[in-house]
Amino acid sequence: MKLHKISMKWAFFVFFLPTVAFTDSEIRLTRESSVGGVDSTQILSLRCAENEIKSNQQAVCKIYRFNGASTEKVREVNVVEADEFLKKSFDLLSPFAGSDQESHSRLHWLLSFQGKKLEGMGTSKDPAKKQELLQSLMWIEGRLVGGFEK
Amino acid sequence: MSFFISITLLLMFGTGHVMASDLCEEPAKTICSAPKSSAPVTEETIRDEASKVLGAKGLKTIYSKHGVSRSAVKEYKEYVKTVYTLLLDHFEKNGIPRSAIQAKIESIKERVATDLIAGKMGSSAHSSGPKSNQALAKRTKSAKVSFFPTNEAEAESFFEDCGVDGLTFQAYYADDRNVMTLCPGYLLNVLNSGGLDSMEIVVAHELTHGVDAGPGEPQFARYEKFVSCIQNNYANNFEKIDHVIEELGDPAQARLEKKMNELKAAPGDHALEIVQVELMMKNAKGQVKDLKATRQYLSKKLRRSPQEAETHSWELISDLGGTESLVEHLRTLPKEKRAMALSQSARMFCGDNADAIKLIKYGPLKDDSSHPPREFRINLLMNNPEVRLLMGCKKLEAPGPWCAASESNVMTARCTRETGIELASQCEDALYKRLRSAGCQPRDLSCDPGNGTEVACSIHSSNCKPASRAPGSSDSGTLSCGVATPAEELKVLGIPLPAVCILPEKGEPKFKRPQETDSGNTS
Repeated sequence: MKLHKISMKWAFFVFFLPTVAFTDSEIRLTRESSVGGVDSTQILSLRCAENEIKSNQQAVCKIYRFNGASTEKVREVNVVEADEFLKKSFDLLSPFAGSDQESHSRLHWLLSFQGKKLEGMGTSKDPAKKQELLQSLMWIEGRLVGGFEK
Repeated sequence: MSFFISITLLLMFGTGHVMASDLCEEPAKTICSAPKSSAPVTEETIRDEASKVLGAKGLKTIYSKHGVSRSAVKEYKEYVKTVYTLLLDHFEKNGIPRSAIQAKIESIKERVATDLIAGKMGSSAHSSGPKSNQALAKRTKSAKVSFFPTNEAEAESFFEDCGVDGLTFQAYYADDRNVMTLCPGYLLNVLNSGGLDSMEIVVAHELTHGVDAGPGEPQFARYEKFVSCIQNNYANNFEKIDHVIEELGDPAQARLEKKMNELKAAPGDHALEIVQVELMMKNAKGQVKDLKATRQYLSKKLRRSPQEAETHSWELISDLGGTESLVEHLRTLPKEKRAMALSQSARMFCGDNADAIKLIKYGPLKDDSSHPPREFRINLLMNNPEVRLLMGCKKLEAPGPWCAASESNVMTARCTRETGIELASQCEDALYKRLRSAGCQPRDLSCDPGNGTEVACSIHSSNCKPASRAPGSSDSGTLSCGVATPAEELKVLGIPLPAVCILPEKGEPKFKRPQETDSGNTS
């Protein structure tokens, strides 16, 4: 949180939206694809960018999907829900950041949250750990693609 | 009238009108710029439909309801199967019954297997491995095809490659299980490509991964001729990598950084572009390393260093399988449908990061550590003499020869005429007689009317079984009876046994014997 960078006129809004003041938070899933031996890359990303604060002074979070083969999609996300989601994703993925991973995975993930950065791949040498990781990624990707509705 | 014009235009753009002449002249540009479906089915449509079908089990609720649990994996299996079923419904709405998809895959399997048996993918006699052509063909025919996960282990693998909704544009082959996976996202792309012909190269390519080999592996010997041909003839082509390395080096990084700063400063929503540029910056660094390895592999270390060679050979061999299968498929189509079928099928070579790449304009070559750049692959496809014959391409525009894995080769006869005769049938008859007189029993002889003044017939020598030698024949199995095209062109085409029949305006074809040719080049 970079509250110290926010001017006094923000304080009012920050008071009511205490988790709003993101600084370029992002979760990004990148999946390398090879169809017929041709490379393609899918990017699924939730970004909450500091420079995208709207005139009503509410930060904006958006989901981007770049599927090289077909489509790209932009969806705005409730900032409070996004914050909650990023926090939970951070907790889920924290145990998997690091080097205990097989290098051939086509799935990569990256998470920037509250000034911290996690990065890793969608696999692990430990089968049990891999299963847990994949279920975490399924949960994350499912909500990104399918929506945050409860 | 305007209604009909509109319908015509819609059909033209909807199906992507492709001219054979354009394919011959500028294959990569023609194939990669062909329009896609005018009314594509979107991913979002499929997801919405799946949610309606599954209700409370839909994607929107599966993960929030179950959280991170094993039940999510079970639901995932059901979800992907539902997506697959919905896609089949869309195929049926577009006039493609679900049985046609399976039939197409089976027909491609059959073609790949036939090519293996015919020796088009090399000969087992030259392989130190235990597998004969027949054994490899059997393996290809028995390959399973997976469209959705059926157990928990598959679900994990499927998720990793096909994504949470199964809609990632992906197809791959698992050697250990002899299973080819076609993600629903790949089928969606086939649907939006306008027809099943787009599956030809991809499916054959993936199946060929089941019989490919790299240096050091027993089966590699069968492909040595092919890989050496690529190495010997295209090393210079890959030397262009030097240029790309330079492009991807510091100047490119500086350009990307500049672009990034511009995007961040510009008003409006550029977040997606920023993500793309970030990815490019990351890729550019990795590609410099990969490209250097690629150049070394292709020019020096192909056979000596298995580690270096774990790059292009598998993919090139699979491309060869894709091309040979496509050739057999094109043969079955009427001439007017071949350009579209080839274009749809080869479009997969174009890659789908094209738009992102255009953003920065790296240049035409994109080469990762395993797959050659798209222009190379498309040009190599179009160098195949049988493809050129079937497409009516007059002369070779793309640089370099076609490289074959087969010991036996394609024999091509070009017949030129003066005027006024039914050339194709006469040429076919003449070549057939010529092959018979040379002691062969030809089958699958294919003749194409070409441009009207020249007709070309081709036959793969594996389809020309040796029969009893004709009495008095001095050809020793050589079928050449002259050359119609300059020796250089024949060399470039890689046709070792050209035959030509010069047809008079009227009357029977008259063959030139090898010793009668003007050039004296007979093989």
